[in-house]
Amino acid sequence: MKYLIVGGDSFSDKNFRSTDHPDLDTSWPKWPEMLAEKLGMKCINLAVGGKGNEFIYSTIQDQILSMHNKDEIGLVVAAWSQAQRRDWQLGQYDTNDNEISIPTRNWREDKIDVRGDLLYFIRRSLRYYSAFEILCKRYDIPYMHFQMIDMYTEYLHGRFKGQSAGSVNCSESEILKIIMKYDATLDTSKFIGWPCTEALGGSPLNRIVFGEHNMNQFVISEEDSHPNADGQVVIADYIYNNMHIV
Amino acid sequence: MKYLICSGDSFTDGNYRSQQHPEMDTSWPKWPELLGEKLNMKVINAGGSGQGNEYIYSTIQDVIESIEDKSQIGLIIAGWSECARNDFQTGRGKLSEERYGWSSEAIDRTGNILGWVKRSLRIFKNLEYMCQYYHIPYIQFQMIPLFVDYLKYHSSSKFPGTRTFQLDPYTEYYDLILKKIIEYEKIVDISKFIGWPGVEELGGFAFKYELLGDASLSCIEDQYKFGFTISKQDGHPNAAGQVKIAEYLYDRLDINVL
Repeated sequence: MKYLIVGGDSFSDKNFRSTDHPDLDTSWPKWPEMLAEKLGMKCINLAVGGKGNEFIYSTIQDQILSMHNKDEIGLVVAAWSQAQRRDWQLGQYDTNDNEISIPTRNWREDKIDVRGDLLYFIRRSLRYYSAFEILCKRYDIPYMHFQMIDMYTEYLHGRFKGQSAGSVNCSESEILKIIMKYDATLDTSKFIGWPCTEALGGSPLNRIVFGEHNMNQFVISEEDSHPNADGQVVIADYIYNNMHIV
Repeated sequence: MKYLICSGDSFTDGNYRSQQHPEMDTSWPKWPELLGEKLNMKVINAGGSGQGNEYIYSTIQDVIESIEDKSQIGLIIAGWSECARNDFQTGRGKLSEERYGWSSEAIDRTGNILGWVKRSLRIFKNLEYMCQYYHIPYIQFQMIPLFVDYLKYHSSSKFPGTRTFQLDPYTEYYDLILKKIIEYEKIVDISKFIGWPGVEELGGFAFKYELLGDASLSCIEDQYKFGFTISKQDGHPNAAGQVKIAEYLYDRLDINVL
């Protein structure tokens, strides 16, 4: 049985807990596990809530490198997050000098990177998207990726909690130009919803799958827009139905 | 004529200026330009003073992706820097512009030395993937030590972020870092990494000491006597030091694969 490797944020996190509803039982199956079952694969779900794109790329890279026989990898999926998040790692070792490599324990994040600006955050994410593609192609590993949630729009419009005034300092047209440059670099046939922003005719996956009008049916509540049990099912179904792109 | 694409820190920066000697004319040719001449290649030198390894990788990635016909790229060279540096971009810098909007912090305010070493090792591997994927000849090396100078000069808990010159590389992290680097020996194509693993205790080296001085001598003043650095205050390569780096690299290139 081959492995399905998934990197992502809270939308993909097997252990997701709702901060808006801390007492809610959120132990329903998540899309990576459901997809693995449909594909007859063993799931390695690396996703952790709150994390950004460096985390997603790095955990996937570490996982692939740790597997001696790359033929055992059936599919890799990167479910990209918001561009302004910044991840870092605290290398940690136990008392026997063995590395603690549990992503939930040794990775940390800032919800907003305090260094650089939005254009840099976008560029940095796109560089990871390109590096992810090269990584998978280098080992002939089937892959797909998508923007799971909005990449930059909320941040651009200053709607992000804790966002400092003047931290955007660019127009959307400048962002779109940077994204469009990657149209020639990325194999966009493997990127569901490319160019990952509605301003260019693409879309993050949560909008594609949940739709504008039925969104409430698939999310936890008006306060918490993470997928509920039904939302996780439709995400898994949607990805499964798009397996032809791999 | 093919392209030679190089990136690195101040040891590679085509516009390097000495902080210790601001009036000094430092416009001597740097190793990328000297090497480009020997190889008969057009040079794109993205080296930037003070920058770290994210910068070095990202500038190379951006240049490669901007060149449509990858067969026009003759050689990629990365001269890696210290792992503690945190790079970021601001503004609308264009690829063709000097520094391209990049800045850096000498010490990342987040994470720790183990996390930074891992980040750099991933970056080294990313360069390898990218060059292999596009079938571009490449070499990489540690221009200045990845972490030893940080442990020597920056890591005192009494004076965080300052150069204390308390020579104590054998912190609790030292052996753990070496262990992590050894793990990458099975992962990185070390035949393309000159001086792998860049750490003397493991049989490798950084160019700063191997070519321009001696790793056993800890201060810039002692390194100066070898004649390849700017002064007793500034340990960057002088004109002769840049020539030495270029010649050393040229002698180790397999010209047949370029």
